[in-house]
Amino acid sequence: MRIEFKKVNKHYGDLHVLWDLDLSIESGEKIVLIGPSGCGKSTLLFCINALEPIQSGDIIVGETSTVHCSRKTLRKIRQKIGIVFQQFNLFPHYTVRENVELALKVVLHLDPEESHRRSRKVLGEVGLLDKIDKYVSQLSGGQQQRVAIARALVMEPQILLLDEITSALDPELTGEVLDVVEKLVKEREITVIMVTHEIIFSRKVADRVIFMVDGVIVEQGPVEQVLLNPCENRTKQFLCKVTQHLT
Amino acid sequence: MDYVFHFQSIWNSKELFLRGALVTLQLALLAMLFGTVLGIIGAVARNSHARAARTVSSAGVEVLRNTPLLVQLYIWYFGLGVLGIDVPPYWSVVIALGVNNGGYLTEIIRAGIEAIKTQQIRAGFSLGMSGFQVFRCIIIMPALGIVFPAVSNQFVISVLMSALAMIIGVQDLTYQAVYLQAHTFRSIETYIVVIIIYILLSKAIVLFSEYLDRKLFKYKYI
Amino acid sequence: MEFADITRWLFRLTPYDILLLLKGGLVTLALSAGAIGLGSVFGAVVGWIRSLRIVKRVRLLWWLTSIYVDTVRGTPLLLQVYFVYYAIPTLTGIDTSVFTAGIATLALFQGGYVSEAVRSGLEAIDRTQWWAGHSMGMSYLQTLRYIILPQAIRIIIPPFIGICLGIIKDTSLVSTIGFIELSFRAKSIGARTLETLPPWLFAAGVYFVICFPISKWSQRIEARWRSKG
Repeated sequence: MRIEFKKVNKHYGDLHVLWDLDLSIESGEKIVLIGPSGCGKSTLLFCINALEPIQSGDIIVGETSTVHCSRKTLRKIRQKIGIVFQQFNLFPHYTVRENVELALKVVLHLDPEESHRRSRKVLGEVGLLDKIDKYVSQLSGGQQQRVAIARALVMEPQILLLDEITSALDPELTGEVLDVVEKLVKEREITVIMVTHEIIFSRKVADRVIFMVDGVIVEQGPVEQVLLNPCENRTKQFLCKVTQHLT
Repeated sequence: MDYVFHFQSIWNSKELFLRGALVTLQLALLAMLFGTVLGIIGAVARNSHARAARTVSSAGVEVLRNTPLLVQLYIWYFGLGVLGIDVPPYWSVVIALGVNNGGYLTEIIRAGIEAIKTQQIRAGFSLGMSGFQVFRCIIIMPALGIVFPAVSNQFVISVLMSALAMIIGVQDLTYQAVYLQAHTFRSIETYIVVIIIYILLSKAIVLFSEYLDRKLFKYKYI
Repeated sequence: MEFADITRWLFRLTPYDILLLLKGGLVTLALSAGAIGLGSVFGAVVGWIRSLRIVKRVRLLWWLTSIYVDTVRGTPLLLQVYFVYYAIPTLTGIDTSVFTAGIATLALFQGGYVSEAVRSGLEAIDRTQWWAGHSMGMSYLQTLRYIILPQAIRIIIPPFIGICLGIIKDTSLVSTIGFIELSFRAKSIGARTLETLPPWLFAAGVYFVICFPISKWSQRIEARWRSKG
């Protein structure tokens, strides 16, 4: 599904977070969003499925505007958009299986066998079938995040939003999560928008890289351009700072 | 001190104690049920978008928590009569204790609901759930898990507060203590027995609620 | 239009009765202050004793203090009032006045709850804080005074204020043995004028005016302490 931002403006109180943002994302495109912290990248994601309201402009997902639609339509669109949060946000009072199947039961009204089939399939893909009946608190951070990914994917969304999914993890756990994401992203035809600091990973999966500062897009384009040969100085500065600790 | 203890007369009246204890438990239970319903309504009202609901529920909670239960009891007892509603003392106690409980439980339940991190609620909405579904699946169980110890503590408090019923003539456990003491003049023995019964009751409730907590909310203890 | 007419219209009470009620309110405050003063000191000592590691090992003091604390916290205050006023005299032969019985019961009640608040406050301070004090060469009492208590006080004060608020409201129960405070006045005015509701409503107002500011102030300091960290 296609996503389009038209002159989107968003404020948090006095803080102006997104400035007249125009952006088009084609169906099936894999986008990576990079930039300094706190400049509106995550907010951009949350506006797509209207978890955050915008003050002016429009956001069109597929054929429908998520800004001007009814609550019922919004719920239907959200079923097509999967989102994985930085803090996982799993439900602590449910087992892994129940976390993944909850929306299938309650929102899609699937029968139990179909729910079980889908949850087993998707948990197999993230490599956590053996933990299916454990409670969330019994899993490590990396495992919890993989469950969160499974929970988003089991709804078979057409758009997947990933908000800094490795930032809250210990360094040795980010690998397992990124491997899973890489595999899933390559196998599926879905539109993916990923906010991340993992530049090396971005090179592997992105079709287009967008660099944002303070709510404004500074530069965007294919990986070869933005990451390897940036046009803008600001981009160069950012990439230097980010990669210098790796050498 | 040349006081001789005679427990025989107390033993002869054991069914009076039993009857009193039953009345005490009934009063506390009814008041807790009533109070929990009021508490849920109050907690929702405290956070609602309508300003009227917010002010009314906050005002109610403040009045209930800053005046003595004895005063509230008399106000219900006499007030209902003034309004022309004839309520027997037993039910005046249930209403007074129930509404009082409602005030405290509103705050307890509200704290539980607010403790559910907004992020999890967000996750629910992002999956396409409606507000009602989010409340039912994501908020209620964890909120109950958080407030359960406080709620069972409130139940113990209700059992102890129910003693005020004897002032308007309801035959609860404390009433039986005073009655027996007046009839047998064995005041120390009577009171010791009643004290022990109350302590056993409170301890039993605490132990049982800890057991329930572990059964119903096992995810908290893994 | 006389003053008496205004009060009669507003509260359905004569100015004289209003004065009686307000005087009762003063008695309530004095009684509360006395009970809180006596009970808090006693309760703090008991709570401190119960927090000691030696006591937890030897157990005798623990069981003794538990009899006190569990009785006071596990039985209705009304029962305790009757017990102290009616039963204790027959046991010890001392004939207590309503005044001493009332203040003694309330003080003991306050003490039981304060002891638990003090105990959890002290136990909440990590043992490493004690180690820090001892390793600097401080004695037990010095460590307690300079390192532990300043931190424990922050934890103890909010529940302590709650307990005090409870005592102010619980003073109403001693009216049942004839202690002439606010609730007693309300009851006797009602019995005399046969208009039983207005004096109780006025009494509720007085209790509210006393308790509400204290409760709000306590919430404010708690919020401020929490943000200061």
